[in-house]
Amino acid sequence: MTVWENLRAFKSLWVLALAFLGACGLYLLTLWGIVARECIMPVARERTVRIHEFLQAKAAEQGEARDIYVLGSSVVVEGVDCHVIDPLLKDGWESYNLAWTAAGPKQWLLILPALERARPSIVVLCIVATVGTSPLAADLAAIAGWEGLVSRRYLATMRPYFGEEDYAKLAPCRIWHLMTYRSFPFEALDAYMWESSRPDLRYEGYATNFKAPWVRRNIAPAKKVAQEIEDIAQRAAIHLVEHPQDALVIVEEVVRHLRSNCDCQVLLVLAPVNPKLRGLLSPEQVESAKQAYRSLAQQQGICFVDHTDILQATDFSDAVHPFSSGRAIWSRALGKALSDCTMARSLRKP
Amino acid sequence: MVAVLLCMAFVRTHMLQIVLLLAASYIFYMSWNPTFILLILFSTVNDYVAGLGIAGSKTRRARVCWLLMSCFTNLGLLAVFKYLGFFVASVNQVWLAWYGGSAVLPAVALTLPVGISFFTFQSMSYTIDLFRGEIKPERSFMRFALYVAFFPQLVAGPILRSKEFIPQLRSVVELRAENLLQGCNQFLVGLVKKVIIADNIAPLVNQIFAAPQGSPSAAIWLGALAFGIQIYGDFSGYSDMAIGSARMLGFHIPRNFNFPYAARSITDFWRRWHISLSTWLRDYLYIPLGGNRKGRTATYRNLFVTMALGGLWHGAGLNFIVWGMYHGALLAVERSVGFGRQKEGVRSARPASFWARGKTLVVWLLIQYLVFLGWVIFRVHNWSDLTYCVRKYVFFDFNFDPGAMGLSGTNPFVTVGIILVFVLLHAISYRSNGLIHHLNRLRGFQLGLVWMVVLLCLMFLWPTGRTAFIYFQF
Repeated sequence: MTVWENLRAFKSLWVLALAFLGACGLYLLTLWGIVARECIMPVARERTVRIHEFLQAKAAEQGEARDIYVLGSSVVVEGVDCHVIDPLLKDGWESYNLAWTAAGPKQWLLILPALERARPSIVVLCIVATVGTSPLAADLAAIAGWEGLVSRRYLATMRPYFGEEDYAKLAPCRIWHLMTYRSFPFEALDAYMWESSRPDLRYEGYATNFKAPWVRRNIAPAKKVAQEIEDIAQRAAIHLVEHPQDALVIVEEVVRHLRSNCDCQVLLVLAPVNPKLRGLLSPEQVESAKQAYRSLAQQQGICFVDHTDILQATDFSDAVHPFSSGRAIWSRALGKALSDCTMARSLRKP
Repeated sequence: MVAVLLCMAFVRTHMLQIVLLLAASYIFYMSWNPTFILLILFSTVNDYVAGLGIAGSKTRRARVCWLLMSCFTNLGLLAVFKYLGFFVASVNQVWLAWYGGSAVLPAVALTLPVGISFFTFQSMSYTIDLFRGEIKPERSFMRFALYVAFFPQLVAGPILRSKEFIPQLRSVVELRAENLLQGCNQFLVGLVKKVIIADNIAPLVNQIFAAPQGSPSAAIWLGALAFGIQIYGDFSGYSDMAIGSARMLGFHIPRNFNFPYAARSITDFWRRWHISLSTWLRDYLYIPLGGNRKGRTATYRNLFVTMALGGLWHGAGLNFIVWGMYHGALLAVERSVGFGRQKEGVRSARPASFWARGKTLVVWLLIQYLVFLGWVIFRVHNWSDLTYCVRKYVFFDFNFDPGAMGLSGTNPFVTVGIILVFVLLHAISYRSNGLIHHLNRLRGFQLGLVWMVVLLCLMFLWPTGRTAFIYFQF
């Protein structure tokens, strides 16, 4: 056999090359249509996109804004009911729950530019003192990259806060982010099936509901809660000992940005922690974490509220999320703290 | 692979082709850990010299000496790199339990060289075959080295037999369109099994078996089913990719799996699962131990010992030994009641009656129940989890609460969908005697369309995380 005859064998593979090109084209087209255009994705991710859209719409509005944005994780999603807060505020003021599942300080950095452009009057940063920062999920980074949540310049400025690993997730070009959307249709389907099959969640309008997004119907079994509390306590203990500064540094940067770029008041709130969970942690370490946030608030000249101890164990639906009674208690307490802030703000800005 | 194929197209001298393939094999292995290439070289030189020694010896005593040298060296490598750490840890554990105080032996933590179980067994089979006079010695070192380190199957099998593979290395490699297409098809099938089936099921399996205590029976059953399919997809997927890659180069590697979950007895299962290992164990362990020639008791003992050692081959862990012994015991029980002796491919001309079909179905379900119980033993790595999982698997508790199953974050519904698709495809493929044959018959537009759909599925279902091949650890 000659070299030419050997090479001619490859000719039979033209159909495979064509199939590959066709598959790539169809793949990108499907992703663009289903995910990017129709926004069919896991509901927690869709919520991030909708929050960004909401902030952009707010930025386009004219006139003086009297908006209060509450940021946080699923503890806030399930624990803050803006319908309870709003009646406690002065006329014209309105609060919005802009938290989403697994959104810690690092995740807030993704919506920080849009938040600044929306010019809120007050931003409430709800922190769970016993939880540290978590890395950006790959799909969230893909969303942020494709939807243009953060600009290249901003990303470069924030590189130290994102960390190298998460920066690498956000840095690729836009088309790459579209390509990493690939699992979304299936994950969205799964998330929908999963939530539908759970009897304990009311799961309507989560993505676009910015008042009281998510309500649980019943409390998780005691055995499961006990197991969860044990697991979380182990992780929290590691965080409190090894990485107590991680979240603090990012929160400081978020506060600095908000204060310098949009002249808003910032309220730093320590979210309620299940007493059973607190009981498993070292009181000195918890107090030290709380003290660190208190000092930060003092240094930055922002309001600070500690709601760590305001709920009983029976006010939680599981290890960390407030149940309906807990939501009512915490929302009222938050409303009270905000009414003081709005009062002060109104006096300062006639 | 593409680079190797292109180079092979330009290189026309036989010896140069061998050198090229050998270089590619060594580079492939060194890409994981360059140091361990010395181990392959050592094993190769050892068995090459032993082979020449066996062939050149005049007396049986000398031939036995050469054979023992080969076996002891290969098994010694395995003992040091694979089992020493486990042995030391076990001794320390027993010592601490009985006498307390500090550990009696210093801890050993050696990196397990990828594929060591495969290339040592492959290399050893050459010297044993030579000793038995079944093959002639390979005089060319390059050719023998390529047999030991042939890159498509180097790290996870199938375990090649010298009498089947070395003769293929004696002729010039010619690239043929037919081989390229069939190799690509086989490779694609393997990729689908690995990426779409195994890798997408892996998170669910990991979640269930990470902390199984407290999980209901439904979760353990789902875990067993998912792991059984994951390990099949993972391992047979790698085998298919190896066979496909070799096929592209014009080499024929025999199949390693033949619809194992269609087995109607445990004996039948072992004729279909990891065929290259089970035949290796049969030819080089079970038969030399006496096979079934020395009475019933000896046969049961031989089955038990062979399978226990087969289990140990999979890894240094108590669960692997228990898994091997479990299968050994099942085979012995089967043999004692005269079950599972029907010959493969023998089918009655008359259509089976309703009752006969029902009986076949019940037997098949029972065998799968036992096989998947074996996978639970294989997957769980500590004794308390093992006893819990086996108890929950055997005594079903009828708790179907999805919350109690603790499957959040693992896409359980998509995973179950993938499991169902796998079962369907597997059944269709079994009934039609292998989908790959149909795929190989397609040409032009039809083949392109199938490829496009499969590639599209691969792109969508390629998991975001990396999952290594399970058998790389063996």
